[in-house]
Amino acid sequence: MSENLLTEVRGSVAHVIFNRPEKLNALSFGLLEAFEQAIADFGADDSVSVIVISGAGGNFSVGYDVSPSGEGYTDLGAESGIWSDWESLRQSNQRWLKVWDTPKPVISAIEGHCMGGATQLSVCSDITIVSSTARIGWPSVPLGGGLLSPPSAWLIGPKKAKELSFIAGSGMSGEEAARRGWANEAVAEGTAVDCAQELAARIAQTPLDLLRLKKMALNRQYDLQGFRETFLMGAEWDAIAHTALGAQRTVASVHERGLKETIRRFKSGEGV
Amino acid sequence: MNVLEIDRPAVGVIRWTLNRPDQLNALNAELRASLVHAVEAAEGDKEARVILLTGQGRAFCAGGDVNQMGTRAPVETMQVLQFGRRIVEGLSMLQKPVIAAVNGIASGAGFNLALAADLVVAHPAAWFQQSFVRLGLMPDMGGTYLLSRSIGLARAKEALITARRFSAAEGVELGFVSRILDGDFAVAAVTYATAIAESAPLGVGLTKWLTNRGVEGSLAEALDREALGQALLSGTRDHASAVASFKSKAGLDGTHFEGA
Repeated sequence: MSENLLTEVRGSVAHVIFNRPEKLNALSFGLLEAFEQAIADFGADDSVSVIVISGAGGNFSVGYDVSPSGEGYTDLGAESGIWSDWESLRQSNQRWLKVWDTPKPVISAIEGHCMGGATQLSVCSDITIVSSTARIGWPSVPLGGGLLSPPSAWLIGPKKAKELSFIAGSGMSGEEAARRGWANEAVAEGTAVDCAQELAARIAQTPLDLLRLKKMALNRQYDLQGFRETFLMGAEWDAIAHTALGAQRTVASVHERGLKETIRRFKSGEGV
Repeated sequence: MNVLEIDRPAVGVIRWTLNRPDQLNALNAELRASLVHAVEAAEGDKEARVILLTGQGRAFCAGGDVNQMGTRAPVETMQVLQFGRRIVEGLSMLQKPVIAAVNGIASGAGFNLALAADLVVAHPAAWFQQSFVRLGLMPDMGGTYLLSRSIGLARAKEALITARRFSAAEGVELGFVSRILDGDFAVAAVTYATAIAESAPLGVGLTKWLTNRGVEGSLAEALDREALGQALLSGTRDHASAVASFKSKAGLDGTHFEGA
């Protein structure tokens, strides 16, 4: 098991915990691979009825690791070509769908930041418990498009999803996310994991074979309406968006001035 | 011995050989899981431009393992068919051409496994059969969808409802077999695959994928309906008595279906 990911089993509830607190649990390749393995292992383990996902250090995750060090998935355009960019995005979307396909309930317990790719994970989870003060955030600068908002649109409807998509740096508080149906419930700061554990223990009272069938029945309803297809299609949209001049200007600015300065300039209206 | 042998007989060609010859390569849990794994691994396998799917011995694939049926609970059938879904959808979505080299018997899910490939080439003595209804079951692994897409609704229903055998020559005539390969079948199949492996992989890959999507009403829907219908049927007395006949000396022909 990677140091970046902790796992713990409490009764029939398995906890999967992102553990890069110094990076606000940014999703590096290593972390994502360990995560995928943990979901596969707990998914196949009949002694586990429910999986709870959370982040160490007060944050869920700030999303894909876009640090120029290249330590993780890069959202900074199609530097290695649109095809491999697309393959990488597609692989990433397929990975989140493994959570959707895991044959038992998965709960995301969100404190602090939940941004970018981490919002995709929450959408693919069966249940989301969120701290009322959490920040569900969209990218701070315009880098791509069509990857993050369409999945959330299933939960919050097209109007709010478009607003989040069109305005860089937009987001919702945990309280708003719960009110809009993006999360099941907003709870007091610092209690999301405990509340998720409590909920998971109640869910685990239902026999696993029934839970599996119940989840499948609901998921197939949404798959047949197009959830899976449109979720995967985000890779095509985003890979194409990365080639837009508007996105490339942002990337050039990040390279030239760094991410923080680029965000500052964008927010101030100077433009990137 | 692996139930799915994997080798690379030529540049760009990966070959998956169903390898349970004594059971006519019937799909048991292990073989299904191996196929799912092979499909998933093929996506990122840069060396594999074309997948050649074939069988060891006198069968391509005799479908589901009837010896594992009959006592299976409907909820279990749902789980088994999820593997079928992953194989069929996986082959259909895979951005590489898949060639089924049907070396012999292709019956039941084995027929549909071949249909899930993009191209079917056959040994002159190969035969095809949608044998499901003989067991009191219905087609799965995409059969209700793939065969009608391939040869048209009326002809598909004839095959699915009568469960009669089709020769390789009939397959060519109807269109679900691309061609019959004469001579050493294994060698000819590799030659056929090699020619395709030499063309542009990305263009070919997307062409295959998007052509499949293009003609779909929705494969997903067919698979859902099959899974639900099959789960119900797998709990009927007719199915149980057919399996009992299969295991007895009388054989399937002696099955009496009471419609319950």
